[in-house]
Amino acid sequence: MANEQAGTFPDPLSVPTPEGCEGWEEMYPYYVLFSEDRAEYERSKFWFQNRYHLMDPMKPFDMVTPEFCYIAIANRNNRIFQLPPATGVDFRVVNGYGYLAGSPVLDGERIAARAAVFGQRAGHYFENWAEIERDWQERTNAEIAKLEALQMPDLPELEDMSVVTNHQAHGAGFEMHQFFNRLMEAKHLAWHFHMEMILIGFGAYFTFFEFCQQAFPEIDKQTIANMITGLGGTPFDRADEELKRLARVAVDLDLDDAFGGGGSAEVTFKGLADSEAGRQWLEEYDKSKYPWFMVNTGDGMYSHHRAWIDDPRMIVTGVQGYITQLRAGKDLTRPQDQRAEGDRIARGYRELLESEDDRKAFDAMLGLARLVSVHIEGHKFYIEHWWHGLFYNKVRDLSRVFVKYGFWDDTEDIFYLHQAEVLEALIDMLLGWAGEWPARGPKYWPPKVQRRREILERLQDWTPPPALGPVPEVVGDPVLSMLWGIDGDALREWATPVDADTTQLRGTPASSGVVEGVARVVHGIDQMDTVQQGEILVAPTTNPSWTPVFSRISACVADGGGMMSHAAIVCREHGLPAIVGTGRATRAVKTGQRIRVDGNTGIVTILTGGGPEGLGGGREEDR
Amino acid sequence: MSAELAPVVWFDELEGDVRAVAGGKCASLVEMRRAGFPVPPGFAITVAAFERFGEETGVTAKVERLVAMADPDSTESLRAVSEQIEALAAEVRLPAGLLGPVESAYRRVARETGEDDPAVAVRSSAVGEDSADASFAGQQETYLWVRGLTELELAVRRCWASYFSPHALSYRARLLGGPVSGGLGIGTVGMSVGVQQMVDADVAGVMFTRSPTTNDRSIVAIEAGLGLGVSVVAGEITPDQIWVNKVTREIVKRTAGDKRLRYVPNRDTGGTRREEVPEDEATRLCLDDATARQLAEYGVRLERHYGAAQDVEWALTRGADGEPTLVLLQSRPITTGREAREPVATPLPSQTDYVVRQLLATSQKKVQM
Repeated sequence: MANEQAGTFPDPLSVPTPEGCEGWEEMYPYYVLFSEDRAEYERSKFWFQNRYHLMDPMKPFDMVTPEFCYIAIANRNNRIFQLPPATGVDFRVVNGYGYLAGSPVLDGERIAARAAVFGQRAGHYFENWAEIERDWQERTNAEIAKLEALQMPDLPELEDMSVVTNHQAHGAGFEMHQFFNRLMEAKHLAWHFHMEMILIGFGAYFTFFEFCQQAFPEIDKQTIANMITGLGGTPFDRADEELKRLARVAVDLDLDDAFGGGGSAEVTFKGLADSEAGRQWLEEYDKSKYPWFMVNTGDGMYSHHRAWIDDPRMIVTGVQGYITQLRAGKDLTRPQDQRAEGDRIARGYRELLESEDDRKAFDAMLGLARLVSVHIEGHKFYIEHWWHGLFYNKVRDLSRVFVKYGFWDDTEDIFYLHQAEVLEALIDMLLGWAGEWPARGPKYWPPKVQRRREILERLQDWTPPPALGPVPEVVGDPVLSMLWGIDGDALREWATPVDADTTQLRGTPASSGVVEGVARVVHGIDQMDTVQQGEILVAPTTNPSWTPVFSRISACVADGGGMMSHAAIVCREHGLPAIVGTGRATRAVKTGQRIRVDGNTGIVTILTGGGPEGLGGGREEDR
Repeated sequence: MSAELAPVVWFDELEGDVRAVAGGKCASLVEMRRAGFPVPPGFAITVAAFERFGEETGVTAKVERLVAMADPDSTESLRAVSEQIEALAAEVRLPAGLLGPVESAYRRVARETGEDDPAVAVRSSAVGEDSADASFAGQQETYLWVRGLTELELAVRRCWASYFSPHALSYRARLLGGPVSGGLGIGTVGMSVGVQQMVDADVAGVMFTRSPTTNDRSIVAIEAGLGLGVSVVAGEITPDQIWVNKVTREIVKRTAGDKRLRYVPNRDTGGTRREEVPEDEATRLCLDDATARQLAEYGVRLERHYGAAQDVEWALTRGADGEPTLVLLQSRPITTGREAREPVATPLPSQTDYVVRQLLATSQKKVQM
């Protein structure tokens, strides 16, 4: 994918539109498109595809995520904390795919001035972290409760008499507008909550990582990560524990067959309702489901990342997997000694340090990294999963009104409109409702929605280049390396063209062990059911909500992500070899090929050309 | 030197200042044995024997005359002197009073090994050798697979002669800061010889308790070759490289080398011979993970014992039961001069300060493509 000139990726303004997708730009707001009028800026930046969060082409409405998220990042890092080396991440959309650019501060004096402000402000957070974290949790819970309570108003034929007797100025039209505004505010606010503590938390992680790598040049990143993480007890762990509990209940009730039928999740749930034992299980399910199964099937970045409650495939898959393990006599109890192991490793490295000064620095940095780790590992559940799940479902409530007034046919169609267009449509609808004359929407939107659906389906088959523009001199922003794995190694790998003969890929070794097995390339959550026991999952990215799948795979390879991406954390917890940040595994590897995943070195080797002879379980080689 | 010092002393019976009576090499072996490391047993022919040999045969007087003539700044002169001393050592045999104790010690080795003429390793062990600041590494002699009293006696004399190698002469002159003769007085320094049961090595090599490339302290780097360790130490082959993480005990690197030749015992004539290794064996890893981990464990313990990074020679042999057994042949401090290093981080008043400092450093960091 790289141009012939070394160190340069394709020109951001010259990426061709795939056939049949002409006019895709019309779906997105003007400010996310590469444009000639600010070409100099566009061409000066290094843009990388955000495979970690935005691996699918984005429906126009889903732009709310990057829009609010990247406002929140830059707002927090730049305008509030004055992070010394960078002001935030800018973003663009090309053929439906999201690209990001770091924004390093290059002027030394400016960096120094920012450092002074940052020290004071981030220092306030670091010094009062535990207290602020408790407060953050309370504030977050309160906002989630507010969103839960946010009710969509009716648009009645005749408004209630109380509007008259209460001398109420506004009618339901205003309330509907207010509902929409509050909903969008809630989404925007979620991202500010998300970024309040997490970014400087990553700063603390980054500091400890860099120290360890300087003191021990040969240390691998997963060893550093093991020293920090592994406290457990995150809401994701809780969701996983609930799945195990439900699997035990199913085993006790002899419900193996109900889960082993191979039918859809819907059929499974219907079947359960038909028997006494099944109904008992469903009662237990009701106790588990809220809020823990508000975990969604992705990471909340897209409207199609449905909460497990709404898309119970993950629940059925997970319970099924655990039933199999229970019947095989496996103990599902979480390993308790993970933190003990982390402590042991930390003590070992600490002893090896040369001086008392080094040990003091090590203690301070490890202490801070561990302090922030609970928030880093747990925050996503509250923001991206619970909060977002509620948000998207209330957008669906709104969409049902549009469906009722003939704007489109399917509740999900609202996501083919950008948030600004939804507001336009809302005003159109409210005008029509209030005066009982025809709105234009029912004529205007259906063909647009249809065209956009076609384009997005086609774009799904397009492979976005991993990066655009010139390689940057300085990355600067610690989040870029911690979360997206942007460093010299990654960029070199991305710049290597993929050809048919590629048999080796290099990524970040994220979880140790070597496994050989059959690859299953999965591009999105919709294909999760195809994963067979013992296969090696190859995905653009993974996240903790895919947890149930980890009970059946033997290793994981991801295009995106760094050491602290959730794929890495989950694999370490499950003791599966993992390599993240390969840049192109989903393109280079084909389903059915035998591959070797070396989680110690970060090398993926394609062993066979695929085909049915290779199908079968993975072989554990060296754990 | 003390008059009571016996000419031959078993490793495990050496007392007092071992370095002064049996030289650095023997002292190191003795210390390792005492600390419980698997070092093959043996005995030292002490500096007292060296002294008595010189006096009783009249060699000392001849050597001193020769050395007095040498010009320490002339390589040619030193070499000429050294050659004459070597010739002396080749002619003059051990007097009976010295040969007797050597013979009886060798017979004890024979009893312990159950062989008539057991193979032994004969190594020079100079006083002043193997100290951290003045490494004599490789300057003196080692004779492997020596069998029979006659061969042993010859090897001992050769080891003694190596005390007067051109390199050693020049080194001592520099170390002692005077003319060659001024520092030569036999008895102020001296040469001992260590005689050890020979280890029949299938695999052997070296081990550093540091990363050889980055000096990382968490790494034990093992280099392994086939047969005796000579091929690895002399750099004649590309050894297998296996790195073990000291903390996690994980193998972090396994690189098979190209070990196309090995040194094996010459069963008929004694000594060793070079042998070609078939390609598949030459390029196959010769050390398994479990053995590498066990070896690394010894490395960590040695480092802890000596309080400094170590450079260790080791071999893998077969025990009485045929099971692979690791033995250690030598351990000495790594003298790379890289130990004195700036601390990684000076302590700062608050945790935030560490983050700020790191972010400032990162803002300068260039992307390496």
